[in-house]
Amino acid sequence: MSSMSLVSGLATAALVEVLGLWSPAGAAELHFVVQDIGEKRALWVPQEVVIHRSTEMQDGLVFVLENPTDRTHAFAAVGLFEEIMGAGGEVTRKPLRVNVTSEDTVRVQISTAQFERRTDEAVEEFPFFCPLHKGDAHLGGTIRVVP
Amino acid sequence: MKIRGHTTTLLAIPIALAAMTLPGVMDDLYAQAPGMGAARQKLEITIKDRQHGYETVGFTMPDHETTVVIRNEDNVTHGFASSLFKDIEVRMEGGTEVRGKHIRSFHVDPGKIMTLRFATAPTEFDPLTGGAQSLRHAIWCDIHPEVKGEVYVIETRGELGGG
Repeated sequence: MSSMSLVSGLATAALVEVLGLWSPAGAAELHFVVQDIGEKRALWVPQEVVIHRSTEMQDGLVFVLENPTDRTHAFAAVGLFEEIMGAGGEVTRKPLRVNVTSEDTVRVQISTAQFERRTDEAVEEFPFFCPLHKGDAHLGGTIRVVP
Repeated sequence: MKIRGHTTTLLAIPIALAAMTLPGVMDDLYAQAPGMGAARQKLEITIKDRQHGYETVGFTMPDHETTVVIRNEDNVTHGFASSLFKDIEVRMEGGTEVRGKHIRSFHVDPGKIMTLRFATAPTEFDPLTGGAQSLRHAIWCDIHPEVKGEVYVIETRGELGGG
């Protein structure tokens, strides 16, 4: 990654953190909005997101996915998992892939189990994209989880 | 989207004629009126690509158990949304149901076959005339809105008889 794109990405990430809201339950919320790029491709923005393990994941993490377009889109993030509460209160995890229909907004509880009790300094990257509109070239973003 | 305004005669005759030209299809489609103890109505829909949209063979009738088989021969996932599914129970195999604020759709992955089974709504009689109309339901891909088609719910009672 070039220094210019890194700076741009960090600026976007900083903006995301400023705009990020805290839900009433205390979970950090990150907002993503999908945009159509021509007829075949789509882009979730912001494209660069930084999440701090030590702070933003302490009380849970929620993604808010907004689709203002006239098409159904999906949000998939490789390596991240969604938490789903069953009727009996049991929690299951499944790979993060969520459909968002036209003019709808979906809130997704993200599993933080894989990041708990981590004390190392490793930075992990999780690519995300719309699997329904990949087009001819991959258009996506990156969630960077830092200590 | 439910579209009214076509009379039974105008709508049913050309579709019935078209259906009769398709060997094998009529065996499934006729002799299935309620009370005859016959099989379901069956529609077969193929999606070859975004340019050609849905290729639909068959139709259904009011108050009938209906099976829709959707073949996705394209190389991308396609959706199958319609007002036909509003407020009814749909049993699905081979796909993914997607519910949103405004739509209910069923997605089928490339190269896969999805089957939907449901009962169509009963005949709606016009309170003024006592007659009943055939209905034409729009179907569309919620992932690629340029992919469109129609499903006909043919009313055979009335002018043409048969019920």
